[in-house]
Amino acid sequence: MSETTADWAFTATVVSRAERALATGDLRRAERLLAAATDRLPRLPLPEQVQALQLQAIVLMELAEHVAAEGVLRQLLDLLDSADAPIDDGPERLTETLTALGTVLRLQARYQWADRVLRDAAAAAADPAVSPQARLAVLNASAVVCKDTGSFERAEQLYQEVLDGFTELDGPSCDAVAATCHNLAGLSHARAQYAEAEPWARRAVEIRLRGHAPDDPRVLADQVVLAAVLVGQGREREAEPLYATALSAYELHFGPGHYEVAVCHNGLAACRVAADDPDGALRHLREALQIKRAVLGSTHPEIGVLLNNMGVALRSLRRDAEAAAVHQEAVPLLAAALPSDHPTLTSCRQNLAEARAARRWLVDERP
Amino acid sequence: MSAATPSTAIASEPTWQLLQGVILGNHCEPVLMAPRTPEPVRSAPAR
Repeated sequence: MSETTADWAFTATVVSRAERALATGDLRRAERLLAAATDRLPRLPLPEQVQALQLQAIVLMELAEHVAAEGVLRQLLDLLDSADAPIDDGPERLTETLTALGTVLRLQARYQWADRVLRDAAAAAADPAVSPQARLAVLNASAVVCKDTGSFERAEQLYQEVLDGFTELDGPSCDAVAATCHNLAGLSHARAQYAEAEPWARRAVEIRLRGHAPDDPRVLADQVVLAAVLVGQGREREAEPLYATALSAYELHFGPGHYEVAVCHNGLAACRVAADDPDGALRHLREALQIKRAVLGSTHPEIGVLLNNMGVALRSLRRDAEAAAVHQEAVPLLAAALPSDHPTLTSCRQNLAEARAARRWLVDERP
Repeated sequence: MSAATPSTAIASEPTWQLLQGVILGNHCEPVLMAPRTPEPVRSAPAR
């Protein structure tokens, strides 16, 4: 066997093992295997290189390692751009890669770049060789950017198109329909229309449970959205067990420092505030902050949301000066990423004003 | 195995199936509002 053939065989074996590790949920093992294969990848034929790099990007995205995923996706784009060796399903791969890149940019709150890349994805998807599923995924990724940046009506139009498209293509009970229902619940949640969000969230859970085990991360993600919708309606007692179950399962599945674990801690904090247990809420929020700062950096708008929630818990403890300080820290993080009339920013500004007023009132009333 | 046609057989599951999991989902989390501070009631200054 020549050295090159041995290289190919070795790399193919490693990548197949990584794929199996991903299928069984062992993301860290998949990541290690793919990282080990990286040096030898350039010796593989182009289609196999593309496939291996896409697999690596998926693993990194599942691990919420957005910066590393971005690097791999850019490497993929360079490969797909190399005009000397086009691959058969190039337009499909290009569309998928740009959609994934737009998504990781959005997850880093780099919304303008996300929007620009997703426009390129839409242009790539216009190629007749691209599947309708890949085209709908571009629309979905664009809709999430619209939702995150407060363009709710545009997001709704896009999601509706995605929902109709997937229903027609793969039937009303496919995973993509469940994911779109999940996203429609998230959109109504962002608009503070919690009662409207609930049927979407429940439909997502119901569809997912038909095809996946209750501890599958996709089922858990839908239940976490349902929990957030219940919190919005003041039904924290129903939400808390959903968050607690998801937290334990995510810790087992991904490890205690994963982004999804932080999302559950924030939800549990909201439940603890409602149960008049602000100390319990602060413990969850500190955990969430530590994880999200490590995953997203210290200036991400989601850090602003956590600081806002921490301020509200501190207000419950009458620690108004500390509450005002954390709200003040939160506002610029949200203002840097969101439009000035975004509901989250408006809420945080109002909380800051309230905390300052409460602090002033206490100072004024001192004997 | 021929060097010209290596059998790498990477990723048996269609990439789309894997990608849709990471592309389609998004998150929503509670943003808490503090209870409104009641206006302080001040007694009239003594004459």
